[in-house]
Amino acid sequence: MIYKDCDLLCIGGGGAGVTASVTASRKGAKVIIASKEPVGYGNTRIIGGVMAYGDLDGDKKGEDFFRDMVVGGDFLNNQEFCRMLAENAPEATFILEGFGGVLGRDGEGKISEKALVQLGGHTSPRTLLVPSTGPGIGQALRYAIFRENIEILERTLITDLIHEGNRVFGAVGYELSSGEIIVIRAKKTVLATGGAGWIYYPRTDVTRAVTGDGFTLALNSGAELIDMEQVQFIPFSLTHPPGLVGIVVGEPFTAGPEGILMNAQGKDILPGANLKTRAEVANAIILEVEKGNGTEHGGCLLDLKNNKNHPGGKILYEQFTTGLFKNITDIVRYAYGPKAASWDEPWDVYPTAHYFMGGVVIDVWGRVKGVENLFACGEVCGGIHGGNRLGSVSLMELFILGKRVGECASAEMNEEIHKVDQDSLNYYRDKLRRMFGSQGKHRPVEVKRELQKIMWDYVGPARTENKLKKGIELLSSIREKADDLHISNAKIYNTEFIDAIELGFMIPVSISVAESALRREESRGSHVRLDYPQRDDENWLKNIIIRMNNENELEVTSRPVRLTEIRP
Amino acid sequence: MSKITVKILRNNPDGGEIKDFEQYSININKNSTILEGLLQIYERYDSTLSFGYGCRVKNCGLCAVNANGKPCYACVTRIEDGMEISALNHLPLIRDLVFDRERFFAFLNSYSPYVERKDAPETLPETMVQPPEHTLLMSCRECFACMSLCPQYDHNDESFGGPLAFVKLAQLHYDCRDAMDRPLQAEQLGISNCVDCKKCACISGIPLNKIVIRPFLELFQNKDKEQNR
Repeated sequence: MIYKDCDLLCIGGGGAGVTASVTASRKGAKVIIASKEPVGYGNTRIIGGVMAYGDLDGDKKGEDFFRDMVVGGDFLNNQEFCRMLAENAPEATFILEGFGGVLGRDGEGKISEKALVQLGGHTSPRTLLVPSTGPGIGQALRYAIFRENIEILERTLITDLIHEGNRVFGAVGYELSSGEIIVIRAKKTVLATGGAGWIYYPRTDVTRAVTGDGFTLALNSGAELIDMEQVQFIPFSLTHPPGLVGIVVGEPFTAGPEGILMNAQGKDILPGANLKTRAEVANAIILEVEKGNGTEHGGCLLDLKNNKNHPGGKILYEQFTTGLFKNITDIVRYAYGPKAASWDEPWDVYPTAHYFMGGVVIDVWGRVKGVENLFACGEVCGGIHGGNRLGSVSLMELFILGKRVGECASAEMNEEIHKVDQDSLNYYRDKLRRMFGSQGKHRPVEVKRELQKIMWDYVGPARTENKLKKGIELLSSIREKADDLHISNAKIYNTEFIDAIELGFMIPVSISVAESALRREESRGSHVRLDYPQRDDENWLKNIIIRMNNENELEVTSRPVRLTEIRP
Repeated sequence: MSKITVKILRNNPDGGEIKDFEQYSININKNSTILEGLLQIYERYDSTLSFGYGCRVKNCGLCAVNANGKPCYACVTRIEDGMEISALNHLPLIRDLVFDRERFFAFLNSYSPYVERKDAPETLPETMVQPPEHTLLMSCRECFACMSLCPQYDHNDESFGGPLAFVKLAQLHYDCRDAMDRPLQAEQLGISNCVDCKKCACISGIPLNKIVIRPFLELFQNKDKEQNR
């Protein structure tokens, strides 16, 4: 067993984690960053290429941006966060560029109105393009980490937080490359593990490491999760070949003014699809396929051809063939052939899971509510985006919140590292060691795939009470299987061990999503209940909260949203 | 659907570096990718097979492997009957198709692989026009395929940094904010040992020879001539 001590341990090496780590390191903290994948190779690296900058509105201080976030989030947001983000938005650009990244500018090299674009849900152009796309951000994150004296533990899978009651003192993990179990004692611990899109694999566009680790680590140490039912689905993704299922090829606007979304028989299932919300389009496709009107690949058809004879549609076509969305055309060509890439043949499409609005309850400095010494930033946090996150806002948010976490954690640094009782460290160690070479019935990856299928079939978009109840019942059988796993005894890079740990994270997260979705008897934001199709402000202007009780069971409650500034 | 056979070069670090091709028979469709094949083997037959992947759509750079000896992204390359799949060349292996990236970056760290400015920006946001080469180089996937293609590179030989090291230096060389002498660092990292064979073609489409290797080589050769005069 390897032991390490530090002031601040950051779990997760994406944009939020790197920003928190770098900020704390600059304030003099001794920082360790533990990342399952190499640092900067996570979800932040594969963003679409847009980041909110804010309005060039002088004295208005982001008033419109604030309103757009709350209205877009269907009033579930914690408005204090939206206010803080809207006021500070441009700082995200300064942070990223300080790391060595570069955002889009006008011909004179300035950030002016000419450099800003307007995305869906935003009432003004306030978003910058990322010229190098996501990988350029990933590289800037690596620049930033290398510049600091930060210890990097790459390919290190954190398995447990070390905690006594609701006080956290670091974490235990598995170093994939050496095969060693590692104990990291820390004064402050940061969760920056991202969301949990992978519980819907293959119907997701997130990177494979995003298995909800931070949600479960937080629950286990006494934190609350908020609005876990709010999962954002993007309507258009590939349906085949199997290796590319779930890869995003478009948003509602991709349909363009003349695009037709049709079933396998060629019937238009949603006229004007380009102006509908992500949730409306996603649900239309799922319902049509459920009725038996899907294609042989289980999707609907997006016919874009007529756009080529329409002035607005033509501009869109150019963006896809030579402009900003050229990468999408490349992947459509690979999967569906040249005629689909030139819009002469329709695309076979189906929704895909993209982003978790729900997550760990924190305050505006990223302190995890109810847990001492624990912070969180990035997608693992909940309550910021309410029921629906506007495009380009999460990339901005993770830099702002990451920096706040780094500042706050280093300002509140404890005097000494807590001396964790050796018996409890041995408990974590023995628990992990027992897993290596265990001779149970099920291979972890099989159970993982079973869970993912349940999540998509019963807790995906287009929910009903019956489906959710069935999903919850099936998830409890997954829990039993997860106690009976077969894991090789390989020491180095044991993939079955990784699967087993990740499965252990995915189960509570999946149950949290399903239970929250069952509890919310209305449709709001990204949560659509076919049996309660309307938004119900009278009864459901509430946040749904999940916590773990003393018997290690998940409890669901709800509380009224604190509408501190604006109301519906 | 059709049945094909592929071979994968296995490497087990626990069992004393035994390296051998193992054969698997899998079902594929039209357009099935190498990654799909690897996942099928992993899910159905052998969940100890180790390979890297992340985004499944050639953005993250984690899934680069050799297919019949040529590097490619497993996520967007068609799998074929009889294909031999192995880890990238010249890099320290961890298990099967997974190699160690950390060692290279730790080595590069003594060359300040980040923007070193002379002065703080005058305004925030800063006014800047970056050359197109910079934008292109910042889209590097850091997938290490160029290292696998370079006949001169070997991770055990620290006198030659390899194409990815030169890419990182070139990123900074073109960055209008960076003040360090990157061509000098290219020299220290052994650019003079590059034989300009043009084999380090970027699998993500960056014109490596044109914007990285040639310019550094020419700067070195010109300097060399000057000194000899």
